[in-house]
Amino acid sequence: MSTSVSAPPMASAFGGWLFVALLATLAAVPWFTGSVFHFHIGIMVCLAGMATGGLAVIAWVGQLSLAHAAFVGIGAYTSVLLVTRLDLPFLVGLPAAAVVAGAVAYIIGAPLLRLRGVYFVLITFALNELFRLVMLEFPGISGGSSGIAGVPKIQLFGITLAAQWQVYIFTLICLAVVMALLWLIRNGQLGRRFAAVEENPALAESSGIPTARTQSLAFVIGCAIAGATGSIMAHYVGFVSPETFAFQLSVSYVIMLVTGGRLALWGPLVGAVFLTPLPEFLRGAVEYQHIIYGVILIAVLRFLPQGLAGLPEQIARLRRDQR
Amino acid sequence: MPSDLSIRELTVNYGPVRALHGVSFDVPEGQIAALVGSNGAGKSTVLKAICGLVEPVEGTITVGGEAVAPKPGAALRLGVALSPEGRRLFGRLTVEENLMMGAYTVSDRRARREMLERVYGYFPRLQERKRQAAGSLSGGEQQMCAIGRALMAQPRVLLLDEPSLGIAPIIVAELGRIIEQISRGLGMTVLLVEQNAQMALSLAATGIVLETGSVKLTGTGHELLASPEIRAAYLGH
Repeated sequence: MSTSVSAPPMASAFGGWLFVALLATLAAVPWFTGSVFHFHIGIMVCLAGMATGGLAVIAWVGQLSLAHAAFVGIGAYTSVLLVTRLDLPFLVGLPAAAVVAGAVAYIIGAPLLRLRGVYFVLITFALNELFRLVMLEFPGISGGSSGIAGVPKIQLFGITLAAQWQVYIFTLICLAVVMALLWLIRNGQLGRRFAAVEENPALAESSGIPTARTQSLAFVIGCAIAGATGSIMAHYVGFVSPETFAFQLSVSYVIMLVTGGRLALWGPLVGAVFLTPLPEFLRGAVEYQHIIYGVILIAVLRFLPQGLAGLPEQIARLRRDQR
Repeated sequence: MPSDLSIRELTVNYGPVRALHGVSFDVPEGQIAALVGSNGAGKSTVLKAICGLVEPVEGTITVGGEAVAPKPGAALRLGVALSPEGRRLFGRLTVEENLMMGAYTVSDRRARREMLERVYGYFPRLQERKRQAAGSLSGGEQQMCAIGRALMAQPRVLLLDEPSLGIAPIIVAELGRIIEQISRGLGMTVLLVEQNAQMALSLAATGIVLETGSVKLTGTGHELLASPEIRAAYLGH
């Protein structure tokens, strides 16, 4: 029995192609239906997939951040302020969002990452609240509780992405870039270093791996991805407020990650594809949304500890055991 | 004979409890030394002190004449590698990835490959299973992988913590032979920390017996194995 972490979650090459074909079909659905609503959902899936991908990088070193929404928020505000106050183009705001979110992560990561497990989760929970409260305290920057409306649309080299399908293509490309980055990290020396720190920090440290620096690096990369996501989100939705990036958003990223598969490469994407459309289709039953999320989370933790991305492998193992 | 690892008057407290009282011993270069003693004698504390995981109240530890600072990683920089007791591997990484992690501090790519070949030479079973997740190996194979991982750092001193723990007797004998080959073949200094006094003392040029935090006896492995005191206390004869 071999369960290598570096092996793809798919049971076979055929399964892998099936998975890719399925994703491509799903991604093409809005064009078949032509519905603006479906394009909107597609964009939200891409954004959620990117943010959750960032969260996955942090999870690969064994930390679970409940402040991920705050970093999405930092990115969003960075980009919005640069574009609206300084009249800089979106293509400056986007990388700046990633850099600022990553820099904040670097600064606060040093003391925070000394904590492990539930203590890190708790401190990041507090951090997300802190972000929200601080932003509410400075309405001159954040627009206070009424936020900043009328954020200009995404503009690339003078072309404004006015139509939904244009934004959708742009977010698909961004998602592909994030997934490619995750793939590169995962299959390189850095990914093995992350896995070693995640699995056995004491042994990693005694092998000479700088565990503190490794965790900090993962935290910076993950939060920078969150920041970039925030920038795109703000310019697509056209509105930001401190409440947009409240604790609930962090929780949904965590639920997507765990449902998709915490340690699998495709986990964040699968989680986003599966869970983002749910609340959109359940608008009529908003009051049950969190109950449904909770039930899904419990079911996944009970029956699919590797998440949905681990499902093919689990089925393959069941078949082998029966034989 | 010059000594590679030298412990002088090492005293360690855990809160109000004194775990080691002035422990001194030397491990001669290129030889195997066995540190034996029953549960709670202080064997693991000696290792922790060498690796900088506990701070001694008194005493010095020197490797190749240089003092080891009481900080994690300090001993590693002076060429001491530890194969720890208990959770010894990265279970989800493959055997080869585990081994390569051991060579993290070795920057020369070719040296790493060469060492990997050597480790596979000592442990052919690891080569057969190199793409397998380390967590799926048997206990004995995991121990081999842990020793191999420590070797990959190309240490001058190899510390082995309870390599025989939880392993079938026939594999223990095989491991013993391989440890001897490694020490002889690479001229490596080995400190073997064991509850299995029989196995450890039969391999060792030098034996140190710890009892309740103090050195009770030292001698060559064969002397200690023959000593009636040791036979009565540790070998059950």
